Amino acid sequence: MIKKYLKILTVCVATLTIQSCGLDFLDTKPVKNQQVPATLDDFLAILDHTSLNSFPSYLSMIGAEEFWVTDAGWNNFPLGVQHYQKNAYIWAKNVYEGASAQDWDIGHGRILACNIVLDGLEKYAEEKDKPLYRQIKGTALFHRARFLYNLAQIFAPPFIPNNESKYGLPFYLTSAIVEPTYRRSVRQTYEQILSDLLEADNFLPE
Amino acid sequence: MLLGLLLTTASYGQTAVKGKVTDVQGSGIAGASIRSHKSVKFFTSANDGSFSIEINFADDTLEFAAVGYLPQKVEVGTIDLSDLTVSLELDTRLIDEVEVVNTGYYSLPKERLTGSFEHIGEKELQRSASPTILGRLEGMVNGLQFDRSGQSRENVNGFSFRIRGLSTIESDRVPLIVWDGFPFEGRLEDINPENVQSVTVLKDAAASSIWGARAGNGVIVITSKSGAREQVALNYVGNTTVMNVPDLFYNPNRLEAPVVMDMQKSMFLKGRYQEQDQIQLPEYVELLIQHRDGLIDETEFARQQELLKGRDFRREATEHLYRKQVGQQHNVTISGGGKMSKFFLSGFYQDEAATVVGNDSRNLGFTANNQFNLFKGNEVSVNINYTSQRARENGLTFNELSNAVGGADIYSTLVLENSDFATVPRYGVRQTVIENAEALGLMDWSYSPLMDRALLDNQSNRNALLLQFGVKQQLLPNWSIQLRYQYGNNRAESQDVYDVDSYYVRDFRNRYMDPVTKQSPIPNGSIFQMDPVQKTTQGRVRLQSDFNKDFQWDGGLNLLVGAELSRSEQWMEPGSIVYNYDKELWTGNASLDFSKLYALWGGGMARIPSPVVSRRASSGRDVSYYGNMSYTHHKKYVVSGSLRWDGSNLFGVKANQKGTPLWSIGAAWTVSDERFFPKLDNGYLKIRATYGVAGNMDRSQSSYPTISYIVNSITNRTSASLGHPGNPLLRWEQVRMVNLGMDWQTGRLSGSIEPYWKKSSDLLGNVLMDPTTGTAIFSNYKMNYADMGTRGVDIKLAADVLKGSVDWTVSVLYSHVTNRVDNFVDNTIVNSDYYLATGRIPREGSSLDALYALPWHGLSPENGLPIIFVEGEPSSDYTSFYQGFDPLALLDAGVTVAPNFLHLQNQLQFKGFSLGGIIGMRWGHVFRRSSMYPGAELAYPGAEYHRDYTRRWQAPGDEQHTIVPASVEALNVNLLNTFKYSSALVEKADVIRLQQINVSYDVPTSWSSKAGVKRLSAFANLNNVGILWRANNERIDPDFPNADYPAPFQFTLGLRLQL
Repeated sequence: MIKKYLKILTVCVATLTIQSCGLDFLDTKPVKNQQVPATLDDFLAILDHTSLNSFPSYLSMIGAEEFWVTDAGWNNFPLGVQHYQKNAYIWAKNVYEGASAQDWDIGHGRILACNIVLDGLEKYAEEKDKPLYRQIKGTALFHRARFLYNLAQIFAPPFIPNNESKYGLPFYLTSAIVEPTYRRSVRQTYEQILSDLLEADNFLPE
Repeated sequence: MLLGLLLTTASYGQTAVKGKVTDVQGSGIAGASIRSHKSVKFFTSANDGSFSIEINFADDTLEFAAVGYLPQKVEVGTIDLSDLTVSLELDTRLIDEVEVVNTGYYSLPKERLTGSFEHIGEKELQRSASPTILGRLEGMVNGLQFDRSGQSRENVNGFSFRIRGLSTIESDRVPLIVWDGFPFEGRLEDINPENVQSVTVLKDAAASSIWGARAGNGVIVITSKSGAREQVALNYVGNTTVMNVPDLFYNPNRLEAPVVMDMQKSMFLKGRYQEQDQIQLPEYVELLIQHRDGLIDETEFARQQELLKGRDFRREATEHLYRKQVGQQHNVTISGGGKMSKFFLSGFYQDEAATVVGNDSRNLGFTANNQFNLFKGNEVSVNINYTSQRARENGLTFNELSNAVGGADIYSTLVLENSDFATVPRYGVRQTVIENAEALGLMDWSYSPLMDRALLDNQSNRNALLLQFGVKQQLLPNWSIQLRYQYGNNRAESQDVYDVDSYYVRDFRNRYMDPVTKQSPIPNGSIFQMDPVQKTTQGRVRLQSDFNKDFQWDGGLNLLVGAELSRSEQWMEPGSIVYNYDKELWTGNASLDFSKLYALWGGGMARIPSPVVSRRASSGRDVSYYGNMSYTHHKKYVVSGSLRWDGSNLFGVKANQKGTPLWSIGAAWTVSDERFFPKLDNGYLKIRATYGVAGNMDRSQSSYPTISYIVNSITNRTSASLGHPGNPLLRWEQVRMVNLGMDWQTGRLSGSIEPYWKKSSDLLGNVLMDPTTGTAIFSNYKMNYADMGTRGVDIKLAADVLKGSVDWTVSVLYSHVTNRVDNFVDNTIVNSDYYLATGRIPREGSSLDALYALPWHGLSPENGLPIIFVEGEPSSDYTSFYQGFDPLALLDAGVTVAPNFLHLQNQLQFKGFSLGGIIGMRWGHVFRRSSMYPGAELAYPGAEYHRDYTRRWQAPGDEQHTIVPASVEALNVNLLNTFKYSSALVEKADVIRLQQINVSYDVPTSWSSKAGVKRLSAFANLNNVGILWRANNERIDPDFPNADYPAPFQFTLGLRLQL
């Protein structure tokens, strides 16, 4: 009789132990170097990433006519992802032909990274006088302005004071995207760039 | 699972009855139930069938029953109560069906199941000679569909499969494979089919809610052989397999030499070829250039031109690069057991020389499955499985040599007229450079495939070890507990040795040759390269408690609860590259300067590639809690239910998203046991229904942004790259399934009909987000964007046409399954090209397997180009047409996976001789074929040809009998695509195929015993025998629409003997 109850008891205990350690068991990270950005160091690391900073903007190089190609070379330009570059070279009426342009995708992808950093900094508001915080905030704002400026050089007309165009750029200022954004005018685009730069100036060291 | 226990009660006025329950041969039946009607008492027989019971009434009726036998009633008053022998007859209804189904967690008699299961036994598995256990299931399991439309180029031996259609769009859609009670994530080749006792396929919600989140696509449970008590047997199976040489002439995407040479000449005369050192030109174009520049005279030019016209690279490749594939396999097993134990040991050896000369593999394996009963009610099992594979890929394929990188043309050759090895062009180097290599200070830059192949030295090894340990203990008569542990360890590595004389090394040195100093930083020696080693270990622990009780009122309850933890770790260890490698002494140099920029011969600068130095590790953790219940009443009514919670160490998700619950309920009714059911010969009718909800988690998605830290190899600085931007609205997928079934048998006919419906919701997919959000650069970004409904029916019909001296059984398995996408989040950014070129893009209301096409209006009688309409008006602006085509106006041209498939199995048995085969039919689906696209031949590199070139439009009037457009002067991608994706190139994929023929002969025991052998049989299998009928008129094999050639015919001959 006692033996029977002992058996039942051991089983129950074993089951409960498995149950309680089971949920802690799931806290291991799947990939060692993976992280949800949370600390200030994480945010700085995102901004330090080279591919964020060194994207060769194809359309600016082609548009600035930095080089030329022979007819045969242009004819034999490979089809595929870079097809829009071939059209850009001859300033074709329809450059993209429905495909996506890396310049736009990566251009905005870089702005997203800055937004993630800026949004993440909000949790550290009490540190806003410390040097690390200021460095990260200033850098992020500067980069965002720079990336937006680069996009504006390619995709928006220049700002002409008496003949302002309303066809500026659409962009997001936060990483929590819950509704579509809208296209700003050229003036608004440059105003954003300027305000980011001026704000960055407040945070960066002399 | 029923224990034999004698239940006795003491009370006054008792009548004692003693005796034995046996079968018709006199062997005792353990666990037979004995019910006394009047006394309302219930007993079971002991292990040897004997019973000793007491009943209250002398005129009671006793009912004796056992699983698999017909019940019998005995009036107590009329018989001798001291020695009552009751012989039960076998229940021949469904006797060929399995009696006990193993789900991997538990085994239950088929009567007690409400779900949808298919069972394949050893004998059926032996009819196919496929090297993997899964391949042997083809055509044998109702609802299991093999799909080869994804096989491309020369990978023709693989396949993907579905059980009852699709449940998801982008998440893991592979059914779960369970091997000896645990999920199996290794390679299928590690399971030796000869060691498999049976395979059970679980198809519906009740089945998959047993196995959890991963089983939404169905479960395939593989059970290994484990030996038998009180006997010893030694078995040997050996076979040899031969596969035909692939048919390189099957591929319609090729044109003969004279035609290709004409095209190239015409392009040359228009100045389309760039004459630059870094661009290789076709051999014929070089010849034309030499002729133009006066380097060769007329006669020499004409002679060489004729030589090229007479060649065919396909012929050359077939002769030198391919051979018949020959493989052999040997299996030795010793199985047996004593009173308290059983064991199964097996060793196998297999080697195969593949169809590509230079590719071969050798496998070895060892298995030991042991079971002990240490004391009463105890069962301990220890299983070890080890496989080792070594493969060499030192061959060259036709595809490799003749694609854009390879550079060979149809008029290239491998062996010259004087029997010397020939050279072929190679990417990035012009023939003129190769000829002047020495003068330019370069190494020999020519590429001679046959010479180079002799120098290839690639080797890859894989080892897989699996250990299993289990203890099962009966704690109380109705209650047992089991603990099981599995440990797995896999390792895969591969290495290459590039000989100093090989093209790889010479090309490497030349590319890095400084044009000024004529020095190359790459040493003039062989190179040894080891790819990153991949290691995996996993451990699983399971604790389960089983409870079974038979009640007095003729009811039975089976209940189990359990918990499971699993852990898996994967590493990728850094690889290495050793330069100046001495093949004899194994010495070399790895300390080159990997950060310095070297001048390249072709211009520009680059660093020497360094080996992959990152060490990656990933760990998976899973936890599951589960419970199953099944209650049977009067052996006619069954109710079942299951509940499970699966958790995983997903990253970046909210705490309550780390797991997902699953549950199911089911019911079954054996109508044929009812009194009102008419008495038929072997009559049987059972209807069942299940409903279940399962969830699916996707490891690649996260609610929060995730970053990965990396160190830049040049600057040595740490930074973090954004891996996933985060999706705060992330929800997990859910699948709801309803399954109905009716199993029936009458006389010699039996069958089943199973309609089912699945509703998947919140499916995750890579919907195109507005690139302005910045998420377009994350290819792994998914949103919950659609629901999908799948519905279908599996129908099975089996007949014992002849029974007696000749046995002939026929079975027909038919399935119909379709799916449809609903509630698709509307996306206005996607253009038609996305639907046409990429595929698997959902559209609301269409099947996920839909093939979209542009409408076709024929060719124009004026210029032979496709007729198109832009904004209602005829037009020739193909760019506006193709780019501006409304995706909603695309034609739904059909589905790429057959919605109907049928397998007809015939099996004849006469004395020791057996003959059978499977014919497979698939219909209702389509495929897109290739053709001669206008301007495709003008692309260089990457010119595409097709035999349809001869059918092209050439003069007005041709549009009446051809769809192939005229050739054009300049390549316009949009015109090309207008034809390529038109409905004119969509063909019906219906096919009837003779899939398999099996023959075997069992030598009569009187003969074999003279040789000292208990059983001896010889067998032969034929696979991929041929197509009996196909719907398309283009001689295309519809099961391999995207491959270079269909899987060749395969013949296996073997011997099976038992000592």
